[in-house]
Amino acid sequence: MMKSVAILVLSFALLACSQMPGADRTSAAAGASAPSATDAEFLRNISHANLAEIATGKLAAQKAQSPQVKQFGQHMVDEHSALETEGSALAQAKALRPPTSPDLRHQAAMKKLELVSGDNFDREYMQQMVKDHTDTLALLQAAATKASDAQLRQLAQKAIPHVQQHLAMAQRLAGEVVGNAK
Amino acid sequence: MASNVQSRALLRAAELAGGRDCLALLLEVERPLIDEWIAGRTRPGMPMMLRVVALILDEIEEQQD
Repeated sequence: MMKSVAILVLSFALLACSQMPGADRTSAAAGASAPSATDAEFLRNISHANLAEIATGKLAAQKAQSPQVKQFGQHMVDEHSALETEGSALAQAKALRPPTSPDLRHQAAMKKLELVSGDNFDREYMQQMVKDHTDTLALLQAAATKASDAQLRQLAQKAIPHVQQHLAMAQRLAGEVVGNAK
Repeated sequence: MASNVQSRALLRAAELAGGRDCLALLLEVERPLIDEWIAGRTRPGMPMMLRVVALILDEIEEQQD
């Protein structure tokens, strides 16, 4: 019991140390201009959204029953991979280390999709796509207007029409797969 | 003390994961078990508790990058 407590205390002590000033966790490129905390968060969240759409899109391309849902999944892989390439390049130019995996919220959503199959998968996936793209659109609109960095605003503005199109497609397909289930 | 740390860590992990249901999915356990652990009625094993701590650390470290 005491050993368990000691390990936990040590874990949190390590966490506290990692938050100390000077605990440099970035792969800061020499001379790159550091973004504001808000801009860094925008970039991180955009990356998480892209990585989640790529991961779930790959799953849909394999598991979906409906050919349209499969096609949509592959389209998400292609489009969000392109968006992520641009986003991570900008993050690196700003001396940030872009995420390499979706955040915990998206990982949990992914896990949920892994556990369902057949028509249930199509329905769950398309509903998740409507939710994700609604959230991503709001994130990009906020970044496009509120980011301090001009390049980040431009990146967000460029991505908005793509995500609007994804959302419209997701809403239409979600309606179809729910309708087919009735 | 240990129970309090256990509850706090689980609550933080659940918050980061998007809720207790999401944490249960990530840890591959039934949701009622998460509630029991958070309430301190039962204790997760050490490997499970270390997974929880790892989830928290990974998420927080990434936010600092």
